[in-house]
Amino acid sequence: MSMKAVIPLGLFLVLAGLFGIGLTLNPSQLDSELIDQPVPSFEIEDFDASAPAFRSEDLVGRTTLLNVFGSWCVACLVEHPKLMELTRDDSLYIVGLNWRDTREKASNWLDRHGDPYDRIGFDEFSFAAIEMGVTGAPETFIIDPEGRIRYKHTGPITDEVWAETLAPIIRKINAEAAPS
Amino acid sequence: MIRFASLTILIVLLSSGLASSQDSVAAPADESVIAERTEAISETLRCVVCQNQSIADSNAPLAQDMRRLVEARVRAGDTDAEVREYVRSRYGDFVLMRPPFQLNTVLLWFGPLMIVALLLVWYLSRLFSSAKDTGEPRDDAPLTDEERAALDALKSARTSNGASS
Repeated sequence: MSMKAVIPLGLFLVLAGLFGIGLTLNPSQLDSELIDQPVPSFEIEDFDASAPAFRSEDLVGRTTLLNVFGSWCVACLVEHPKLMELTRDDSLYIVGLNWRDTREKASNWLDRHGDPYDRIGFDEFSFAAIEMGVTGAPETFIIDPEGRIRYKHTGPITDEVWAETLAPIIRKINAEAAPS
Repeated sequence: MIRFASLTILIVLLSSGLASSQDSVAAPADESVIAERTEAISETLRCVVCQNQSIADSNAPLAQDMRRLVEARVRAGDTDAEVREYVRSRYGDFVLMRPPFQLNTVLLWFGPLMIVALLLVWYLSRLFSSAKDTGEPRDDAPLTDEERAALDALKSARTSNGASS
């Protein structure tokens, strides 16, 4: 076989390889621009309407799991039992961002399924969501005590995601923060 | 003197007329300019939920909120580029409908051009190499003695066949 005959075959294999990569990428999984950046500054209402405003500065000072959810969000129900399970670890500060929802619907939702959150921000018009580069719910950010975003997970927190990705990152942050 | 005075008055009247007409235009134009710029910028930003639509075209709730943000930034006095950068710094290059020209997008911008150029080089080199004498037999080369003998044999066989039929 001459070299010339191999060229179309080679081109085909290269293209097939590239298309293969393209097809297996998840188009909704976008890199966050904000990794290792400080939490962008925002101020929204607290879910508890009588409480003071929910400000991005409130997320500084401890390792925080910030979870974007809404009562309209079907996939949020998938991860909800996992979040409830995580509340057993008192050292983990779990903050909710109730996104594009009403207080009434969200309250009912939390009453029915349980409330895993230590605190909830009420983001009716995506003010905080856009600042944080949120593209959909559920979405989960891990924020270190210095207020930097260390990781963003798009989609539900499954047992696997927690064990293999989120938990190790939190352990790493806590190890960094611990006085040596 | 009177001439000069009247000229001065005329100038003052004209310029004040100009100024007031500018003022009256500026105030209502502001709103339409803001709406126009919001629309124009929104067309260059991708809806991160629906991905193949701009936030101007999309009805997704997040796209509506992003349009509102664009409008707020325009009102706050940001330039078009500043608004785009504001959104890009939160959502990444992906959010720009027109990919920026930078190191990791060189292939995207010049890839098709490079393929055309390579094909052109390949085509031209083939064209010129086939024009050269490749040493292989050519159609218009004079017949060798062997070929001529074979041709004569065929010809005589054909004439004898023709005579017999």
